[in-house]
Amino acid sequence: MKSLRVTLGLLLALCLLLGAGSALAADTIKITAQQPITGRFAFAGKHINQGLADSLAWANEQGGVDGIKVEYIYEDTGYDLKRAVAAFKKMMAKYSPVMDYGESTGQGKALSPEINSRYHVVYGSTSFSQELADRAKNPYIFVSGPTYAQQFGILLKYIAANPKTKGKKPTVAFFHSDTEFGRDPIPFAREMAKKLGVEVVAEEVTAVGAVDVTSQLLDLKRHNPDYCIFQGYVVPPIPAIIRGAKDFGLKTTFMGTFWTMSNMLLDKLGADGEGYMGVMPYAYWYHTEVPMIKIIQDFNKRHHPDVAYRPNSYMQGWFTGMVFVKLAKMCKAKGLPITGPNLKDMIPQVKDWDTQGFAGMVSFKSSNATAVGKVYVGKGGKFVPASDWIYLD
Amino acid sequence: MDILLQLIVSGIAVGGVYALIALGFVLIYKATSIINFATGEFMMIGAYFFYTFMVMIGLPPIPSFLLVMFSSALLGLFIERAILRYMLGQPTISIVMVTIGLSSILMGLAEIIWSTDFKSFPPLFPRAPIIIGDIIVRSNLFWGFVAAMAAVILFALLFKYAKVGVAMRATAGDQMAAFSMGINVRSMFTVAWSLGAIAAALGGVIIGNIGGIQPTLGGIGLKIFPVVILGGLDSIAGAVVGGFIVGLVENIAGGYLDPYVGGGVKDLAPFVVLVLILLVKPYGLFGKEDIERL
Repeated sequence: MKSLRVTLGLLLALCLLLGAGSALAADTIKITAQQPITGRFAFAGKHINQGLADSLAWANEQGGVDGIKVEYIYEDTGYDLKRAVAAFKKMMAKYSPVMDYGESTGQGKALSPEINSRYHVVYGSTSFSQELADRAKNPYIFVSGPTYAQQFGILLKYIAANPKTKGKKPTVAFFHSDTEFGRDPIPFAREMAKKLGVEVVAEEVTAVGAVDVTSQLLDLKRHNPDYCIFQGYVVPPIPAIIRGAKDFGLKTTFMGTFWTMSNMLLDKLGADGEGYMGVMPYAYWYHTEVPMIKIIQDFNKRHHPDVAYRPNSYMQGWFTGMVFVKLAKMCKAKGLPITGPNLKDMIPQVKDWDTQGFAGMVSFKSSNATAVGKVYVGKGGKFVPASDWIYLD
Repeated sequence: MDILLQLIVSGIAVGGVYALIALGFVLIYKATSIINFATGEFMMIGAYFFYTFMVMIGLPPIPSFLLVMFSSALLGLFIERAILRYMLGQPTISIVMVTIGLSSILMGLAEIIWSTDFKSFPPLFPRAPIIIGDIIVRSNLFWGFVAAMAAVILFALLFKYAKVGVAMRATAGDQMAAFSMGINVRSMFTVAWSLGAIAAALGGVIIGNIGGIQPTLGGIGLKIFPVVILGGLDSIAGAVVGGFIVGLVENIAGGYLDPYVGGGVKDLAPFVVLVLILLVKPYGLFGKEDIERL
């Protein structure tokens, strides 16, 4: 009898504790995420997830959103669209978040009609897709940086300003994978090149894991472009292309967009990485002169003392966390409740936001993307700035 | 003309590597009549074995290579003994599903053991390209071809002259007859899985040396599939010829047609050739015609 009373007492205490927990949770801003922590995108997904979690934890250390804490809840999707969509719906039902982070372009495209009409949740993701950043179509969705098309625009602007031969139209080739990711910015890039007076002399296409790229290299040799921009790859087959181009005697400068601007690629390229260029929306871990990087390093020293390096995917997660908190703070400052529709209205109002050197002066002007990036060049195994922040809008 | 020669030489070089991986399919199918859909993952695990021995443990390339062969043989042996042996006599579709499941398990294990990060080995061959007249062959591809062809020749000799190879051929020809002649048919299945795993793993080391390794490296197994179907699922010579045909077709089609249609022909062309050849020879170029009388 006594043991029954003790058990009932413990159960009651547990219920009270859980009740108190729920009451506390109600006073937080809930942000959910479907992250590709396993599966073929996990090499980046686990870092993005950590970056987002750390960014929000850092914001909480700074007092949250005017005293309201941010609560981050994530689930692994294995980079499987069906799992991601199911996890999103489950999390919407269970937590009613006001902001969410998705695992891919595919997830964003699959869910955008329901995000707009039913869930009304502000949605960031791993994606830099032009279509998702279209404010008219997807007012709730933002891209954590410039879209791939805008990244091409930034590189083409740099090329136009830095012709290899003075007085001669610079020439460029696009080298992309035969995927949606690879093709996404190409139509915009063709138009942009025409506007900027850069001649597109070749477009090469390969499968992501192509073993032999000789036929594409021969075509590049035929056109001998001043610059060549990669899109739709992470590492392979880029080292094979750059080394092959050197073997074939090409003097082309190779460039990349966000995913091909990792130190992982520079490590693989070794000495061939000297002079490799590309666009990045953020500063790198080792740019310690950047105030926000100092903050990130300090946070990691305190919470993850064993960490010696954070890749650019971590920076994407960190920046997305900054955007989430910024939107919530803007709502608060205007005296509006922090709801999905109010947060969505804040996106176009982000103007000349100082990210402390991390991502330039950020504005979401004509689209829900930042349209700013910096061109970096590989030197001694690291990326160093080759330009200041380049703005497109 | 220079371009055509360049495309042919590169096509042959990459075709040799395809042939070695195709051998991974053929060796297993020849002895056990099982199409191993996890061949690509055997290849990927082999590349990770090499990475473990050479980069993580710090052994020189040749001992690492030998240890890859040994550990891959053990992997093949384990899989046959622990899983496939219990599938004997089951419907083909069940066995196919097991090998597909196996591919997911191996990929998951690779993620757990080696993480999902991109890995690479230090360069195995001299950096300088091989120049034959006006033709340039990239070093990795050339030496990869040499290594792959050496392995293919060794496997062919093993099948032709070694006792175990003859026993495997006998098992592949008629299991009941082989059994009645005192051949341990079950052991031959194990040997086939081990040899298949070694062939795929060696291919994995060569491909990994060209482009680096990731748990998704096994996806290339799908590309090798036209090679084995084209050559004939149970023919070593077929794997070699199929490898060269696919290497040549994709390179020449890529070189001449890709610039006009905006790319993609290089990956499509081998499948078109595959369909055309299968229309004429449904068992592949060198495949054994299987006649069932009712």
